[in-house]
Amino acid sequence: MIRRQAEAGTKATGRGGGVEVTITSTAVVVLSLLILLPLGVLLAASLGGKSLTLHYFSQIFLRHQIRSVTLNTILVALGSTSLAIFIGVPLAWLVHRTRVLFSSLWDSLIILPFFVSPVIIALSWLAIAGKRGLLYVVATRGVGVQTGVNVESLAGIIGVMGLYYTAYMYLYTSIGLRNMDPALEEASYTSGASTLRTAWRVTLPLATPAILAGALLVFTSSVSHFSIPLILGRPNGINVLTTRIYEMLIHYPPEFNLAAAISMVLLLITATGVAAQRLITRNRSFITIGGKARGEETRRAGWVSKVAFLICALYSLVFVIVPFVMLTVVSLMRYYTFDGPTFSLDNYAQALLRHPITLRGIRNSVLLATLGASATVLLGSIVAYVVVRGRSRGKVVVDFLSAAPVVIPATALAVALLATWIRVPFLYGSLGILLIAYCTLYIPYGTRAANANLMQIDADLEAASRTSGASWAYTFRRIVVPLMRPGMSVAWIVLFVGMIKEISASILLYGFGTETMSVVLYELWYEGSFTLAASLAIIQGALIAAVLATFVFATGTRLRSLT
Amino acid sequence: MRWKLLLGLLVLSVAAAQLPSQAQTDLIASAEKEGVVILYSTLPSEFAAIVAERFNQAYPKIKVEWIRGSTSSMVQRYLTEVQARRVQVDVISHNDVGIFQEWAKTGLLRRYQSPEARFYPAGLGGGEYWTPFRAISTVISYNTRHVAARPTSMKDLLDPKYKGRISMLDPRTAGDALAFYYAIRNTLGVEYWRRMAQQGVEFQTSVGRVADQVSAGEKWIGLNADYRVVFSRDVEGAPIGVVWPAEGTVAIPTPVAITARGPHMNAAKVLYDWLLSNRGQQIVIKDLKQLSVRVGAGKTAGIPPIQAMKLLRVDFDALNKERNDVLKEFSEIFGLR
Repeated sequence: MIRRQAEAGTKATGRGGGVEVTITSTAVVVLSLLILLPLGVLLAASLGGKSLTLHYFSQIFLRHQIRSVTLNTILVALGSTSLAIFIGVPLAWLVHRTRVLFSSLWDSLIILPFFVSPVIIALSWLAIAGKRGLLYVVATRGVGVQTGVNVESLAGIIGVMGLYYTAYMYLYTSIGLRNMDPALEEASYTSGASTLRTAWRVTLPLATPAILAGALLVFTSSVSHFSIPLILGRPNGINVLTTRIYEMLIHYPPEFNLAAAISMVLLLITATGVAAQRLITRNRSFITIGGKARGEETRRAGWVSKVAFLICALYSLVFVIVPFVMLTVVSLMRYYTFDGPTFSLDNYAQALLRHPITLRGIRNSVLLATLGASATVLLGSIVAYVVVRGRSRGKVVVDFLSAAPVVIPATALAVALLATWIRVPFLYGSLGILLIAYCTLYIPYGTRAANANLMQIDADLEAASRTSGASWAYTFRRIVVPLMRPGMSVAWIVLFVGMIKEISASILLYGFGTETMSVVLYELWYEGSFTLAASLAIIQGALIAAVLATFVFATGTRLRSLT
Repeated sequence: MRWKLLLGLLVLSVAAAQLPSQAQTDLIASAEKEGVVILYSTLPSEFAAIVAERFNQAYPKIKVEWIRGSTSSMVQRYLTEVQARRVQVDVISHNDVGIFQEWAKTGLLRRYQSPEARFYPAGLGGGEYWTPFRAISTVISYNTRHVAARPTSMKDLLDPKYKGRISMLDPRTAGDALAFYYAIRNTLGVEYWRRMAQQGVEFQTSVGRVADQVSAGEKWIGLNADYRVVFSRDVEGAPIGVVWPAEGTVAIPTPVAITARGPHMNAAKVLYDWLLSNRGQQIVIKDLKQLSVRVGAGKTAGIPPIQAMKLLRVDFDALNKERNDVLKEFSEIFGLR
């Protein structure tokens, strides 16, 4: 009797039951279809498909050109990660540990590149320091010297990518700095240590795990980075593995198996990086949020804050503001030249009113991002609910699967999806395959956001609903969803922005009529219409800015929480 | 009186030829019902836009939607669509004649006897599957500011002063460049390209990029499609000169064809007929500034007629068979593998 009551009690608190099992197993099936199936097909393709062979893997090491492309990839990843650490870490310290004027303004400006497509960043640097960029023209025509600065080179790719990832390093480091117990630094100062000595001997060691975690993230991201080398390298014959995969697939005859093998290698590198990152954050917990009250962060005044102001202002101006201004200037040119340019608004008229493909791109991207963000938020919420609140055995599988795409580079996923779905009628060349790609890429984010949200909601509320006789579905809909809504709307915005920018997977999956904004932007530029592409880039930037601004003002969310 | 009668008959028959037949009217009616035709081509965007615009003026109820790309990417896109059983393209035009020959055999092209086809010399091939809608010859272009004594032959390009100063349309992506590479290889020997590799040639995937590099003086020599160089010189006013190599060149009759399973079959036929008609060819000549091979269509300013060019023969069937080996050889010579 007592046992029966206990069983009834378990049921009443909303754990277990047929609905949950159904939902858990549905989640397992859906996630397997989205993730495991394409990865399996990718693996098979990399091994030669029908007859198993290691030929394609050996090609990566044996073929001269692939070898040099691999070397490029390693150089780019190491170089840009080092640069991002070198700039991002000190910047974070300056903004968060000195009494610098306008610190929150710098904070927002430094993380701004986060919200912008790297394609746009690469294009703006092309306008500044490309082969026909402003610097070149000013130097050769105006002063009569060769600057030797040319971003269309391996060094240029490293530089621009390093600057792009500086925002990531800055964010990671500043989180580390924020979570640090300020008493330790305070102690150092009271013992008479100088500002810089304290920074070097106390703050830096304490922030090291956070910096290391950030560096690993940046390294793995830059190994599988596509956009910047696509713009600055590919037209000049400088490729990395991702752009090489792209070339292998878009040209006839395609080299599908080799592309799949390279994708597998990228996936392995990313997986190793993510595993290492997990290991660091697990073993040396730098997150020190506790129940105990903590003192205020110590911020240094005096000369160091003045220097900080100068550096922050200079950085924001040169590396954030100037590039966007330059791209705007290009978008207003009649044709691309800094040697006596003439200006008009014609590119915008063309992009917004006349050009059939730009309009299609804008429409497709907005549609895809809206649907994709909504689907991912919904899927993420259900998955998180199963994992956090669920009791069924399948939840471990769901947890693992939903996190798995973190290690899949977008390019590799696109190759896998192509291999998997090409023969399914009506999927290739439809918006559906793009939607699948976007959701798969962002499931980990959606789930993590929902997880964090759900942790903050007391399970008693749901239990109360269930005890009052409400069903699982009713409880989810009427209790869980409303409570999660504020948190998940932040996630929705992040996903929307991410999907508007997406190019790495889209460029391999789009077909006639399903071109996305970033794809059109790239194709226009590649063919030679830099000015029209620039206007589309500005339109994309404005669209993202409008969405972010509306959200930030309407809800009072800080820009930072949208990263 | 007799000649008057003859003249009258001639006028009548010409008028009859001008009048659209019942079949033609039916075709246009069904095409207008479809309302759209999708064109994949290797025409640069600004040129593709002109074609679409002029066609829409002639047939306001049929909209041309187009995308453009290199030969290899257009071929790959169509083949992917075929593989995915979702063919979107109705009319396709790229610069690899060999691939069209192959497609005609393997059922990827729709058989269609256009009333305009009889104006095209049978010797150029195609017949019921495709027709050359324009022709492209490969030329040596040079920057007139940097090159004082203009090169006249391919052998001239081996001069050490051009080291690191040559760019070329990429044979891996452009059908016309592949045919040119192949023809030069068969005439001057593979050794010629090996020596060119010593010169450090840079390969570009679009005609616009090669032209821009030479116009801007970044490169001094560009092996490129004739019309794009002439466009840079005459329309953009760039300091660029053009030479047809003394050894001879390749003039590719660029085919246009109707795909086997495109969704708008009738509109495709209307577009196909229109592109090949005298009106369409006048646009090729005057607006696209390219060669027409239609009999009696007229000359293109700045480009000699094909009959006046010294041409190297290309056996497209042989090229088709050897394509992969030739591409491999090319990549190895230039260190691109």
